[in-house]
Amino acid sequence: MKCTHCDTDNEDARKFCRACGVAIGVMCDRCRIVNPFGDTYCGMCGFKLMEAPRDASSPSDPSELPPQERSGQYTARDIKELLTLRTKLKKEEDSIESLRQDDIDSLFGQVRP
Amino acid sequence: MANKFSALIIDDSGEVRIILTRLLKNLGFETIDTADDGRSGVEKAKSSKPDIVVLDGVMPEMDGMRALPEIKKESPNTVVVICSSLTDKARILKFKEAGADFYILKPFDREKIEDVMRQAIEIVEHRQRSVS
Repeated sequence: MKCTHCDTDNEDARKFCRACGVAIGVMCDRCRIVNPFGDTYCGMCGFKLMEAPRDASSPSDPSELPPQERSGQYTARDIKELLTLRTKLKKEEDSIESLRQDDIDSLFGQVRP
Repeated sequence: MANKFSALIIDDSGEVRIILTRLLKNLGFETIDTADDGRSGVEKAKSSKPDIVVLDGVMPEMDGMRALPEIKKESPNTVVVICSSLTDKARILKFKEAGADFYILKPFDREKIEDVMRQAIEIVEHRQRSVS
């Protein structure tokens, strides 16, 4: 996704631009995909998006950061927990099997009289 | 060609409700009602017991997964067509297990809706014959 501020290309999962730090979209709370501003529903999973302000500041803005990072006091335990959580989320994402309409029709085919 | 069947469209998108209402009118549905969230949709389904419900998967107040069992409990012969952008197999299977008869992925096309609605009418007729 292109940053609306500096036009830098960013990976789709990024919430903030890697070059200038400006928010580049709205991250879906369910599938973590970043959607363009103005979208009501996630283009990947259909979940309703919580719209962030378009001028949301970069991660360096203290109000955007979790308490530990705000004070620069991430402990080894915090980092371990975050890495464990990230691994768990990745496993959950990998386990989701996405279907196309043809697959769904096959699943539901038996209801026809 | 007019038919004697009734339909209830439950979707929080006004645009989708308008498009589906138009499509169902073209298919000749005599009675078409709409609701913009799961809770009011369930209430309408309880009172009118429509032949066919077109139900959105993701909605405020009460989503399709919560509304579906309520509708089937009150009106077990109602044919339910889920119309959703959710593609996750596990969730789709849950809709099927809860009694959904069809599942249409959004964005949908006119041919798909018409094809499914014709099949839904066949099921309604079949169930009505079985009851009488």
